Parts: sequence; structure tokens; C-alpha cells
Amino acid sequence: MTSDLHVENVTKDFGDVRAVDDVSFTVEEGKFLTLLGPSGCGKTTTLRMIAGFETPTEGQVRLGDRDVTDEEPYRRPTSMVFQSYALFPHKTVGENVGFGLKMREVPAEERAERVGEMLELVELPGTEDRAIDELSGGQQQRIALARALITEPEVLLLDEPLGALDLKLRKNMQVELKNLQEELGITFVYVTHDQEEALTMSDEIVVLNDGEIEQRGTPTEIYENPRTRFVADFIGDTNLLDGTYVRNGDGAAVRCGAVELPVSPIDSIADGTDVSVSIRPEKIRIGETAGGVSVDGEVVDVIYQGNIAKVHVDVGGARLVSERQVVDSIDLPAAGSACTINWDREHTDVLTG
Amino acid sequence: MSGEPSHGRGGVRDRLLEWSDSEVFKGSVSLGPVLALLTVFYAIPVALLLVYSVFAGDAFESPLTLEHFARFADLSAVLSLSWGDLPYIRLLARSLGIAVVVTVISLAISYPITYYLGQHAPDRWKVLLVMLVIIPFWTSYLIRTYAWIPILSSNGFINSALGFLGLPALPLLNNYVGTIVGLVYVFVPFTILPMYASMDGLDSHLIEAARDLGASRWRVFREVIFPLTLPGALAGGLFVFIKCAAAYVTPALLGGTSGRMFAQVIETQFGSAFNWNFGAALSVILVVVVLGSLYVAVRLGVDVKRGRGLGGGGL
Amino acid sequence: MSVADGIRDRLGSEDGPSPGLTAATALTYLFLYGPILVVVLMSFDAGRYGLRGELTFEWYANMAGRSDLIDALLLSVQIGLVVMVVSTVLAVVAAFGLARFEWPRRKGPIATYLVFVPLTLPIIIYGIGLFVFFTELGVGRGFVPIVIGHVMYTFPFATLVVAAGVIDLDRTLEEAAMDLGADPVTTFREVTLPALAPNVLAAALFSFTLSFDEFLISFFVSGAGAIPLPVRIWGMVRADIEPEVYAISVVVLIISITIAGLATRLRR
Repeated sequence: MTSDLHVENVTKDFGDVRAVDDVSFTVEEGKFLTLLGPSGCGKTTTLRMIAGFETPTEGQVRLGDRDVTDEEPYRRPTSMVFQSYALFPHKTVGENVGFGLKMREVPAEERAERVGEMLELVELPGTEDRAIDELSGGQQQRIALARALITEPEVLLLDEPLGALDLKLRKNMQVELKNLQEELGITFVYVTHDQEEALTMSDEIVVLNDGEIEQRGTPTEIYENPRTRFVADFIGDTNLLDGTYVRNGDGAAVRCGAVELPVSPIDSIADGTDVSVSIRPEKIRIGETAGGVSVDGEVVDVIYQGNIAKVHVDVGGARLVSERQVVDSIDLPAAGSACTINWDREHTDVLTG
Repeated sequence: MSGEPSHGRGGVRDRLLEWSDSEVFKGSVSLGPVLALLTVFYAIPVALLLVYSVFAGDAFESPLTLEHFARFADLSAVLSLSWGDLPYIRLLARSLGIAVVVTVISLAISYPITYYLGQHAPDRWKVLLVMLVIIPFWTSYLIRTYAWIPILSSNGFINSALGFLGLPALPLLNNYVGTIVGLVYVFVPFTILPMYASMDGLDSHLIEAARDLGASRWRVFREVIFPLTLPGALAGGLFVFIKCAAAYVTPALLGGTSGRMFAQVIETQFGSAFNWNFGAALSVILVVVVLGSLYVAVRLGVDVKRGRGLGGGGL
Repeated sequence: MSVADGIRDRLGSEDGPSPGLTAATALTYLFLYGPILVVVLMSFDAGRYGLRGELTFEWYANMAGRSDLIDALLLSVQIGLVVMVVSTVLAVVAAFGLARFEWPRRKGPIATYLVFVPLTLPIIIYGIGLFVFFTELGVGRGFVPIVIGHVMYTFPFATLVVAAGVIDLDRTLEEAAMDLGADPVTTFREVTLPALAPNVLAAALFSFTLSFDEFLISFFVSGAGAIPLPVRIWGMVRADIEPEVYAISVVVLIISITIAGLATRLRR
């Protein structure tokens, strides 16, 4: 039996407010899925419906063939790692980690043994008798993880678990979490508002906005081929231009003010439709003309950021940013100089949403 | 291992759990018994006084009458004083007057100590110092009141000290001075605690800014500290006032005749005069005064919540 | 104001409280604790009608031999313990009702005020009402009426203390327990109650000390067979002060200050 997680047409209303609106997705067993979006987008509510803390107004949550929509959280084979960790302050580390086993009436000896193993897994061996408030934030995070994993859940739910850690620790934990997930083969559903975290860890990303799914796909798909303005803007930096889709013979272009950017024809878009285009800054080259789309412009600003530099180029009234690696700062163009910028045509993403 | 907790499914326990999740259940089980007890053992006893106040004799068996309230408001008694006792309406007025005086003194005492605790107390002593203010609040007000007898009496601590200095003795006990001193002592925590909360929450940069802009200490108090701590002071003052208006123990122990207060005549009706109906009428009047003060204060914008819950001392 | 004054004033604000403020604060503490110290002093002084300056333990010895005082003390402790248990249980139930139950709009405040009316009405009115109530019922005075009166009087305080804890309680702790397989009953036992323990204990201690020191309600509903200590003390100080009252008062003060101190610490 597979235990893929199915979220089907789930809607959640709080009074007059619709927090989640007709959301559907499936997570294959053993995959790492991230719900990504700004605060208030419904990602945490969706997670809480999978955990059983909220009951959907409409729709279903299924694990394999089992409908768990109305099942109490304490009967579900899911475990949650809370943003605040929610470690029981009156219990020791060992009692916290062993709590789920105690609830399942696992004998004390076996419990102690498995708590020990779990603490080793999260690299905090021998801390059973420590008090929770003796631990650092990062250690508490690991204990929360151990406590959730010890019951061998079919799905592990993580609600911004790294949010309270400092940047460096967060980066380390991202890698560790991903490795752990691959090692254990447990399905992870991860909630975050941090797009970089989502890109680093996920097999698949579901981007949520205002309770609705904007786009779902692999990190590469989401980054390289955003389908809506929201996704292009929310994930990574980008150049967003508004324009009109025009057909000319076999080809097509998007007219943005004075410039016309050639794009691959898209059958679903009618001639004259208002669209946006997104071009990632690192895709734009300066001073090359070979192939792709070339546009002439004027350098208006150069922002040096150490390993990279951002060159702002005025192109017929529109401003495009090109990002490039800095090998030698002498190579950077000067503000006010004329230049030609160039990118591959497939890097122009036409956005209709 | 099963990923599923080992609970028996179905059955009574399940239905109980489900039922226990409903709002109706939670509301009625958690507050139902409490409200029922309060009704039977609090509301009904107090309401009984209201009932007694409008009957001539035994409740529901004698004729309805307003004579008891008329007796309270009898102005002729104001003119013809019998054995030196004040008529009831003037006694009430005096009680309220004493309550106002006690409130003002309590507030005056509270400002310096709360300002010190909120703005200047060293951090490691602060918890202890605040606790020291709270603790008397929770200890026997009866003992704390009679403790003033050896201090205020004619051969007590204060008069002995005055005699030692060659000064004449002062009448401090068994008069209104005793009542006021005792009431301030017992009730001052009611103003200290809410005002401490305001002072503690007062951003010291505001004071520094005012000083920096050239305000004198007095101006800083008037322009910054006073307005910002007023809500706490009003709430605390209100509670001191309503508690004083109904004070019994302190005037009975320290007040003598000139410090006699309204609650004492109520007690007399039940304790020695055995006129329950009149006593009940006086009780109703006292409750109306207390609730009326609260109502007026709330309408004037006093944040009553700041003062509530401090409780203590059975006052 | 001259420039020099301004500078001095400004410098003055840097270096802590003015001597006047410190003195006023110290005097306030003297005011708060002076009378308590007087009681302690008088309990060890040989003077029957005023300070004599001779140390004696006579009053303590007399007190220990007076069965009326010792019985009253024990009765007050008994009443306090019963009131503590009943009041704390009611407070936990009521606190959850007030803090957790989603009231229909407008009814919430009403319920809150109903529970807290006993905090605002004069105690003497309640004492008298209870006296009339039990007399009408033919129950008379005694242990049970005192306990009932004290419970009504203490549990609003206890409820406030517990409710503060319920409101502060991190609900994700309970969710975490449920998520790990604990049903609501187990969650309450394993997580909710232990997390609330300091508040519940503080509420219990407050209930005990409030009942132990309560006078006015007891005054009206206590009878010949059941006279709690504060009513006994009242009788002693109303008549003619017997020095034994200072000794028993010191015992009372030690008990209530200890308990109030503990409870205040717990509540923080």
C-alpha cells in the first residue's frame, strides 16, 4: 500500500474569511514538498488541516486510501514540528522525545532505547536528563525533530521549523534536514515563507497566495519558468515588465513601451493581450551580441555587492537589471556609458496571471 | 510498530470525547456549576436583603412598605438629635466624606513609592520590594488594624514619643483620626499596585526627554508622569473609595463616636437592634452607593479592570 | 529658570532618585510594616497596658494553654483547607470556561462580570445576606455556612490567578501532545495541568490564606460551636486587649505571610 498524501479541493473558512481556497495537491511517499508563500497565504492552515488541528470546510485529506479529513490529530499517523518547537517545559529531553511512544504504551525499556537512538540520530546523544531550557535554540530544534520522528510517522509536517534560528545555523540545518529526509524516506511537508529555503530543500514546491495555489512544480520549474507575476516576483529577483502580446507572422513578441522582445509563440494567448514578462537578472549578459535577444541601452547605475554586481540599464524607458559575477571590478561598465544587453529567448517568461 | 496510538476506538469514551469538544458542552460544564453556585449562595442571599427591605416584618408575610427607606431619608431626624447619634443620612454622608479623604491620602502616599519602584529601584531588589508591598495585602486586616491601638492610644507609641519631646498628647484613637489612619493603612495597596503597574510601564526616556527639554522636576511630574499614570491612579482610587464607603472593622476598632461609619449601623440592626428590615434597607442603600460610584466611574472612562483582581485582605 | 539650574537639573536626572524620593519610599515601607512590627514587639513585652520594655514569653505560654485560642486556630486551618480544595477546583473549571469557551457575542462579558461581582460588592453586605439566608433556611450558623461563604469569596480571586495562566498557556503545547497521540483527557493530565501547576498552586495558597484571615463573613455566620480565629481575636480586642492576642496574632502573621509570599512568588 502506498501512502501518498492527497489534499483534495480543500477549502477552509474562518468566519467570513476564506483562509484556504480549493487547494489540491498530492505528495508521493518519501518526497519533500514545500508549501511556500507570504504570511497569511494559507500555508500554515493547510498544514494544520493535514495534522488535524483544523477541519476543512470543504474537501478531503487522504493518506493512501484512508480518509483522515475528520480524524482527530491523536489518531493520525502524522507528526508535526512546530515553529515554536512546543517542547514541554516541565519534562526532560528524554521525556519529551519519548512522549509519543508513551502514548502508544511502548514499554519503558524499549522507549529508553529508542529515545537514545533518536537522540543519536539528531546528534545530541546522552542528553535524556537535561531540562529543555538548558538547551540552545538549535538544540531545541533537533529535540523537536526527534520527538516528532520517534513515532515513525507516515508524514512529517514542519511549520517554519528553522524560523527562529540565526542565518548560519539555518543554512546548516537545511542541508541536515534534507539529508535526514532522504535517509529516512519519510514524506515531509514543509511550510516556509523563505524562497531560498524552499529551493534548497524541496522535491516539489507549491506556491500559495491568498489561499490559492499559484503554481506547483520542482524548484527548477518554479524558478526558471514562473507562470504568474506573483511567482516570478516572490521567488528570486527578477525584471518584470508589463506589455502587450503581439503576433507577427510565425513569430511573436511582447511590446514593452518602445522595445519589442521576441518570444516563442504561445497559442493560448490572443493577439493584443496584456501580459507581463520576467527575465532573471543573471540571464542578462552585457556587451555580447551573439544569438538570442539583443537590446541597446544605457548604463544608469552600477551596484557593487562584492562577489556580484548589479548593472541597471535603461532600455527605451524601461529599466532592466543585469547581474554578473565580479572577477575583477575593473571590468564593470561605467554609469552613463552605452551598452548592448543580450539574453537567450527562452529566458523571457511570458506571464499571464 | 504501529504508527497509530493504542486507543480503543468507538464506544463510550469516544462519544464522550466527541461530546466534550462541542462548545455547548464546554460552556455549560465549565461555567454552569460555577454560575449556579454563585446564584444560590451569592445572588440569592444578597437579593434576600432587597426583599427584606420592602417588607414591614417577615418577608412575604407582612405588608409591603417603603417605611424603612423613609426612615433613612427622614430629615426631621436631622433637626432633633436624640442621644448624640447622627441620623442615618448624615452618617452616610460622613462615611463618604471619610472615604474621599482616605482615597486622596492613599493616592498621595502612592505616588513617591510607585515612582521609585517603577523608575529607580535597582533591578535585583525590585522583585523583593514589590513583593513586600503585596504581602501585607494578603495578611489579616483585622490584626493589621488593631495593631494601631498600641500606636495611637493615649499612652501609645506616638503619644509617648510626643511626651518624651515635651509636647502635649494628641487624641488619635477612638475618633475620626483613628478611622482615617487605619483605613489608609489597610487600603493603600489598592492604589499602590495599579499605579506601580503604570509607573513600571512608563518609558523612562519620556522623563529624560522632558528633562532634556528643560522641564523642572515638578513640571515633569505634571506634564508627563501624572497624565500617564492617571488611569492606574483612578482605578486604584475608585477601589479605595468603594471599599472605604463600606468599611466596618476599622471604624469599629479605631473610630469611636466621631469616626463611626455607615456599615456599623447596618451591623447594629442585625446584631443588637434586631430590625432586619431596616438593616436590609440600609444595606440596599450602601449597595446602590457602591454600584452607583462604579457606574459613574465607568461612564467617566475609568478603566476598572486595572484595579480588579488585586483583592487581598478580605476587604 | 536660570541656565545653571537647567544644567544642574539635567545632571540631577542622571544620577538616580532624589534623597526626598528615597526617604518617602522608605517611610512608606515603615508605614506598611511598622504596625506589624509593633504586634511582634508587644507579643514579647511584659507590659499589659502598654510598652514596658521587659522581655517575656508569658503571653506565648498563656496562649498555648488557652484551648479557646488553639481550637479557634485549628478550626480556621480546617476551614481554610476545605475552602482551598473546593475553591481551587471551581477556579480551574471556571478559568477554562472564561478563557477557552467561545462565547456568543455579548454574553462573554456578562459571564465575566457575574463571576467577579463578589470582588466588588461590600463583604459586609454579603456576610449579612448569608446570615439572613441561612437563618431563613433554618440551617443556623456554623462550619458549613462559613465554608460556603468563604468559597464564594475566595474563588473569584483563585479564578483570576488560574485564568491568567490559561491565557498565557502556549496552546501549541497541547497541540503537540495531541499530535503525538495523546487524547484530550491525557493531554490535560500530561501537559495542560502540569504547565498550569504554578498558577493552580498559587490559587490554592491564596484561597487558603484569604479564608484563614477572613473575618466579616465568619463574623455573621459563625456560631457558638464553631468560632474561627479571626472572630475570636475580634472578641478579644473589642473587650479589653488581652496580651495573648498579640502572641496568637504573631502566629497568624507568620502563617499568612509565609503563604502569601510563596503564592506571590509562584504567580510571577
